[in-house]
Amino acid sequence: MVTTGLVLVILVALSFDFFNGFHDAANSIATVVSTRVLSPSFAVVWAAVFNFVAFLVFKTKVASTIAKDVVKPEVFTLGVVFAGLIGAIVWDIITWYFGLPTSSSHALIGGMAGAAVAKAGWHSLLAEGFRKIAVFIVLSPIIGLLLSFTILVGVQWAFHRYRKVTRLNKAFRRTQLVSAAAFSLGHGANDAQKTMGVILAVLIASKVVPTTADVPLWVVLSAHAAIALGTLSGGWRIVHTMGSRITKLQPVSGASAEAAAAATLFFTAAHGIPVSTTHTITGAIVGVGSSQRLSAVRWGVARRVVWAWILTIPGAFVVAWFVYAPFRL
Amino acid sequence: MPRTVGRRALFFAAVALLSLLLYYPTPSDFRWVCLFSASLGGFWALALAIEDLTGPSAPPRQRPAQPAAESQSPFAPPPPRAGGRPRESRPRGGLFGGRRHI
Repeated sequence: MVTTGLVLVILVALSFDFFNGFHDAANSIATVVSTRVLSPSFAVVWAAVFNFVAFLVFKTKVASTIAKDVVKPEVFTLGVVFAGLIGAIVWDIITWYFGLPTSSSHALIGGMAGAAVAKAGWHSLLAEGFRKIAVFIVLSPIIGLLLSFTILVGVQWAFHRYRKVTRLNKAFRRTQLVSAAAFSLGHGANDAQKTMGVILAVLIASKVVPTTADVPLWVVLSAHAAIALGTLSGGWRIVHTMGSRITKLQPVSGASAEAAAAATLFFTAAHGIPVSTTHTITGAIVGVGSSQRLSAVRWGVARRVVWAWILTIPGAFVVAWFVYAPFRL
Repeated sequence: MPRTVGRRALFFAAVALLSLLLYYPTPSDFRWVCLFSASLGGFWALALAIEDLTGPSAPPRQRPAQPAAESQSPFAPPPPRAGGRPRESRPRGGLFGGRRHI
């Protein structure tokens, strides 16, 4: 039955998705803009379009994992989903305020788990699904790192005798258009599906759809639209700071990092594993940097990612637990 | 100078080790991913270690040049051209060195 509470929770979930796109727009367009392949404004539109069309390419396995494999579906209620979302959003705001690293994806999972534990205890969590997510928190940046290093060394090996450097750079600039599009596709597939999973969970909890149901098309379209709109809005803001915040990359390095991150995101989306797109692209950029020398890598950023691994899920868990506490009274 | 394994080889060895450590916690359907990343990390660790151990060793650091004494002979060899790089300081060849920056 459709109630005001259900509509409110769906709107909160879509807002979370919008801010995810807003936040992560920089990841999608940073390399294409820093290599001057695209202007910032065109890059934002490019990323948003591929965020949106991801639903045509990927199934909704990540959404099913979020809705059915993290918390027992029968534990989900409007209150649990609402508390989980608020936990994730509040944690994101706290970490943003204190300048701590975070991952919206992990915050969402931690928030859902915290609210479910507050309602029904630890046995409401599904160990197998949690294990899969926890392992890939670490594995996805590692895969990105190794793939980007391999791609870059392979490309450099293949072309090291090629003398027409200008023509080669031009070719890689074109390649970067494709790799940036692929990364945006992976970002749309992975992050929009997390919101779809939350909405599916709340629809199941409200008995609007049966437990075995797949994600309805309107949910798919609205989640992709929200993340694409977020990317568009976030991108415009980023235009102003783009020049100072992004490390200069060569087109070949940017294309390698994006291709590696996109391949990792495609793999995880196809197997229903929610991962952090930010961590994956960070791992890929570390891989590209380490192909020159280790000191070329900004280890401070890598260290912040490790802190995000440690802090985000427990942090969002605790916040969501406290948010759900009044619902128990 | 004794040749040692560089930091990059050790870094990739650590990445391979971390992937192997994740083997048992990983659900059985995805354990091949750990093996794949451990193999790839191990391969690069080995390749970089071989390059470190067999590639040309870094040239010994030269003392700062002494102020040239006035040549006593009008037939002394001319000083090196300004801006020219001495042969020893050119980029190393080998598996990963000597690449042009593209």
